[in-house]
Amino acid sequence: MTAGFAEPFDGLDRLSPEALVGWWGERLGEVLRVAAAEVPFHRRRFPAAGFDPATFKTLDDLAAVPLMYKADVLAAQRAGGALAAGIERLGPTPGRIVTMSSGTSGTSFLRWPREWRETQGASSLRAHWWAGLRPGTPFLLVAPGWHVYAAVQSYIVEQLGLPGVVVSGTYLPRFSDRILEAVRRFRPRFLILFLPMVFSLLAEGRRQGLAATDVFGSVERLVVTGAPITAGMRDHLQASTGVERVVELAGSSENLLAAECGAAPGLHVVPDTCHVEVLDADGEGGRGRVVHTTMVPWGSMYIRYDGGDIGTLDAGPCPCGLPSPRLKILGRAEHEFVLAGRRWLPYDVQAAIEEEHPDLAGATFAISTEGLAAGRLRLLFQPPGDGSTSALEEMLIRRLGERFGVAVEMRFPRTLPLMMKGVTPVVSERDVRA
Amino acid sequence: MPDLAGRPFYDARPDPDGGIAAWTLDDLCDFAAAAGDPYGGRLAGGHFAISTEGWGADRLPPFSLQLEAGEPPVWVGVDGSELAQWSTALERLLARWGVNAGDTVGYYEYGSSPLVLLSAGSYVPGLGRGATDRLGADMFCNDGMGNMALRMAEAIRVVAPAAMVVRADVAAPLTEALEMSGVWLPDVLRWAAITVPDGAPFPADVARWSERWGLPVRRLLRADAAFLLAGDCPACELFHVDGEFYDLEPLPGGDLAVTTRFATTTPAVRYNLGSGEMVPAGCPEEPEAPRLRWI
Repeated sequence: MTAGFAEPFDGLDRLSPEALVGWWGERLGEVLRVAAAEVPFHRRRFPAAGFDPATFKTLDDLAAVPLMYKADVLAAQRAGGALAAGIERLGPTPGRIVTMSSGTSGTSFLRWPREWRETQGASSLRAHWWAGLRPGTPFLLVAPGWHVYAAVQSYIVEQLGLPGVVVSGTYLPRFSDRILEAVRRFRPRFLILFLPMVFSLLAEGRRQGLAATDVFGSVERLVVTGAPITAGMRDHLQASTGVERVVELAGSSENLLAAECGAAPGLHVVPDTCHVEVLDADGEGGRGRVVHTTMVPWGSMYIRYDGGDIGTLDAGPCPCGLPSPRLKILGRAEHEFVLAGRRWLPYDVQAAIEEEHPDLAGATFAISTEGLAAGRLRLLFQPPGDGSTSALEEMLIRRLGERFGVAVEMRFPRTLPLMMKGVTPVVSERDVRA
Repeated sequence: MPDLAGRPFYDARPDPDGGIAAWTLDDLCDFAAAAGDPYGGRLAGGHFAISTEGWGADRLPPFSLQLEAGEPPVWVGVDGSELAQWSTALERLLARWGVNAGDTVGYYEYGSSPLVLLSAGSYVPGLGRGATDRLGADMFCNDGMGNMALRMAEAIRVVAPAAMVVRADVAAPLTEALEMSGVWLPDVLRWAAITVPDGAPFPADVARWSERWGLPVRRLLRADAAFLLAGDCPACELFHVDGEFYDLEPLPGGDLAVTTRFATTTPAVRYNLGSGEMVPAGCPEEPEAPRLRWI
């Protein structure tokens, strides 16, 4: 059990898994009733799908609630504008913020009133508490203004009375010198970063002649977001930063939130943010489509939302004592590809490489779309530091070929963007410089 | 006026009259670099540093902001009261430019910009209600990267803000993105404003954007190191300065200095704004407002 879990955040953390199911059922019933009564988008869709919130009694009734997709939201937005998409419940307090969803399938605009911030903020504080955030450390407010997390992190800082620190610019590699300066000046014990930024900070540190401990020496908990990390990537992060505890946190603008406890694989769903299902899973605990429902009846209300993530959900008991199931997002459905008749994600290739050759954990590579089109796994691989590629090539071609059941090819471009490290893309070779 | 004694930056700046010598952002950056103090010696109680063991963290201001302008970067510190007054300066400016309850203001600017932070209390711990909150308006921020221009055009089309504030360095990509997206700003916006990290945009540039975009474009004057926010006036075209918060004074040689009354954590006393001149109050829009012409 980790130190953080010796102190449950509140009574919700002490529920049994069975009691949490009951709690979720009650809370979801209320969310559905509010949505049906006050949110036009759902008021239209529920009866069209034959769903009556009055009939919702337990989580077993959830299957009757219609699924929603980003395309539905974009269509409503196109029809009515962000103000009239009809997905929002806005409270009486003036002054709302509009945030944006990221992704390649179009931008949706989400509206958040102060009422939402109070409720969601308290729930997000729970996730940060799980991750080990405690009073007494400066907190770098890292979220860009377009992202909903910008409103949440400021709430957390307020509640814990932390000194808040804002770096100028935004959290992209271009600003790594400024972020580095802030980390070195203020020496936070808890640091949350978009995964590629960790590598950008290390690269900037090397450029300035600094060791990893000069950069991350104060950090006791490094929380990484934005990409699923493999076991090897975690080891790589610990080794390259020197931070003892690396915590994965997954979230989305549409009210998905889960955080790792470290006692067992997966990330605990934060129960007062969302309820999560994995649909069409290949067996109990198998991978399928991640569908989540907000538990916060304010702002943009996403109910049974399939945001395009693929993941697994483990409802088994966790040694840490938290009652909620553990989610592991493995990638985006749009990044799935087929090899020898089986579906895979870039995560699988990353995990396979590091299992076959642990020294390659954290290696930077991409998967070629041209290779996939030819029924092969063609990897664009950042060459090792010593420039030797032949032994690596021979080993990976043989072992990955056995694993994936297809021919494997290796290409070694001179360099790959740092943003690809840990976030393996499926790209056209035309987009990667030779 | 806060007590300046024991603040190394001000201790080092006596002027012959027993006051404080006016200073520039470069002076502050140089002092910060020489002392290794991110706040440039403006905090009470001597130079600031956090040891490797973490001591010193309890001296941190409730909220610290790295300035975009200046090299090496320097920091300002503020508490909730200072944030409230700084954001009131923004609120009054936006109100004068015509932001009303029910409007939305869009920012094509970094989320770390004081303009964005002071606009919505949701973004800043301890602020409470921000400038647009108090006006009953909503806001959004698109981030200030040039490659986000298409998303800003989409935000304008979908969210339909009444006004937008744009960094000068992304005005060109935004213009291209608007053309590509078929968004004609006057169909949506009442006005736009241009901002730069320190100082004010050139009037000729603003006039060019106004012509290109087909709507009034306002100018912001910023000196983040001194917490100064001022906006130009549609009637007299001079910058109106909030007399409740800022004291202006002419300096020898044609420069202007500002002292910010609410700044107590990292005080701003006699900050040299550069070349400008004070103009007597008397604008028909705001007859009492101190005014300046910034050159």
